[in-house]
Amino acid sequence: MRSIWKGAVSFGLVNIPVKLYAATQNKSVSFHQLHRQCFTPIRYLKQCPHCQTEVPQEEIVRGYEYESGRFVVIEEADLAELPLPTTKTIEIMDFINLEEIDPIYFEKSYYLEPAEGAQKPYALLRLAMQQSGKAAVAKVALRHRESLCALRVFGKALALATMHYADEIRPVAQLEGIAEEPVLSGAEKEMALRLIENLTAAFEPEKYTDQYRTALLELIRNKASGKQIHEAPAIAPAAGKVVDLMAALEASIKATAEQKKKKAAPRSAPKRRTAVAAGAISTNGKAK
Amino acid sequence: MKMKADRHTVLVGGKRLELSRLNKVLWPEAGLTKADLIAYYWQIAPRLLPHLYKRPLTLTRYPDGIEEGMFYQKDTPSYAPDWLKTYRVVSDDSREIRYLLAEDEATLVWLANQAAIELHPWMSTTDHPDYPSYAVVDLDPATGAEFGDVVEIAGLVRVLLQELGLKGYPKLSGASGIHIYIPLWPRYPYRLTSRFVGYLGELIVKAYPQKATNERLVAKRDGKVYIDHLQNLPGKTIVAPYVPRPLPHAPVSVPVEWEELIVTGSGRGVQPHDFTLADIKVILARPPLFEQMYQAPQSLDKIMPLFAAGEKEGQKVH
Repeated sequence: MRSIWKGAVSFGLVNIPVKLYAATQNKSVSFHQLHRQCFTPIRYLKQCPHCQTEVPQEEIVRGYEYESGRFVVIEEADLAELPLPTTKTIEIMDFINLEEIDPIYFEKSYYLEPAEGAQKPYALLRLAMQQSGKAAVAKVALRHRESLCALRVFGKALALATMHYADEIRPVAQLEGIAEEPVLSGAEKEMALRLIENLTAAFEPEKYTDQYRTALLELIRNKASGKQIHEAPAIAPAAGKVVDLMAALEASIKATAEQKKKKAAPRSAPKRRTAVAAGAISTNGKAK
Repeated sequence: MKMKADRHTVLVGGKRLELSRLNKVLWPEAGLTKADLIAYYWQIAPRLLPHLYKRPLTLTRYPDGIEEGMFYQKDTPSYAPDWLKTYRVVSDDSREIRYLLAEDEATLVWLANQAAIELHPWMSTTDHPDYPSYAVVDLDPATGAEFGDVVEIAGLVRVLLQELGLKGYPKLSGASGIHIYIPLWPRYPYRLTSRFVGYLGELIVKAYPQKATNERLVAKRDGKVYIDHLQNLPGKTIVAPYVPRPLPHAPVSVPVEWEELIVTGSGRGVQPHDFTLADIKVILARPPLFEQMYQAPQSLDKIMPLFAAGEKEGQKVH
């Protein structure tokens, strides 16, 4: 893994040099755009409509549109001079209970690794957070913005999740569909609660897989190896089979019903208890 | 086999075991104690062990008897003897569960001494943990349905399996239902076996909506037999054959022949509580019906288009 940022966790008088790594990877399949005629990858041209020319990377600067059509140019050097302590530090501000943060705040997760020689203070912070059960709210400047973040213990590591600021969360009140509270009956509520109860399970992330991706990769593999793609068998024969199965079931149900009728007929005969099930006889009296 | 003393040190299969609270009554109505449970598990071991081999266990423990509190246990406690075999499962967040594997008499005796009344093995073995070696059709009568109804639905499952060229093996759940095991090659993930059983359920409900239901809401199952396919999802388990249940007369889940269940003429079919903990001799005298199951794994490849159109064949495992 390659670290994406180096700096230090700072709280109180303690400074812990750390490296930051992305904790997650997106596994969706990406495609290239090709020219259908020759299968050449399409290239984007950056061009200036004013000069009517292609613009090389070194001639491109960053501009902020402060009013329509008017820009200020922000140079790399301007950004470096911004007075932000968080460009090199993860500044812990408060320790809080993780459950207090609603998941809606979380953006992206990173791992922190202690830099050379910082193993001990790192372990100490981790232990203290583990034992107190607390997470830290901190600030860090990543990718040209100062992000709010949550620092917590994850397995043997400290993990950092960047977070939205409160004013970035859209208010729920913008949803008109939930403005009015519908009337719910006791039975409806009970049913809904029971449904949840029935479907309640421990969260096991391995259980859920991206089936679309699996199918897509399989398709790619087959095409790449020149194999014929196996299409799903046509619906028609399957439907025929279902009819057969249903017929078999219905025949069985009918046969059972007829048998029951026959059994019910000679009512006068005393109930016999013929031993049929081997071994089943000895305990009849006991279990009700 | 009642023991007088409340503590006992025994030697089982070369392992020294400290048995305690032997007179603790586990089934008050039947007057069965922990000593009875231990004696049962010790004697049933040769029958039971083949069904637990390489299968991580979930236990239900009743330390103060079936009328008091119970708890589920997956993780093997730290006080467990170190000769117990365990299987580690580590989840992504580094949470580790050491599942117990019961592969000898001594482990069964130790478990019984823990008042672990029920043993629920995985449907897959540790060789192919993601690919179950059987699917189970779990038939459970809702309030108002009778055992006769369960038998009738079991008969339909049997017909359906025959039509599909498959063989199913029934056992009494020990409670009020029937479990039908369908041995499979371990190359269909849980998701698929569950879908397969779900498909069987759908067909039966369609053919016989008066008595069969696959309704997830308990309240809507009234008077019908519930065909549960969700029991085949990973993490779900079914009580192993030959395991006693925490019900008044200590009934045992026992494999039966189809002909014992579905009786023609005037005979009496086998009933849900025909075998109890006290019937160990009767149970041992019966043929080991489920053992042949492991020798006859079956393929779902041909019928897969019926319930999983577009799904490719199961993963090949050598």
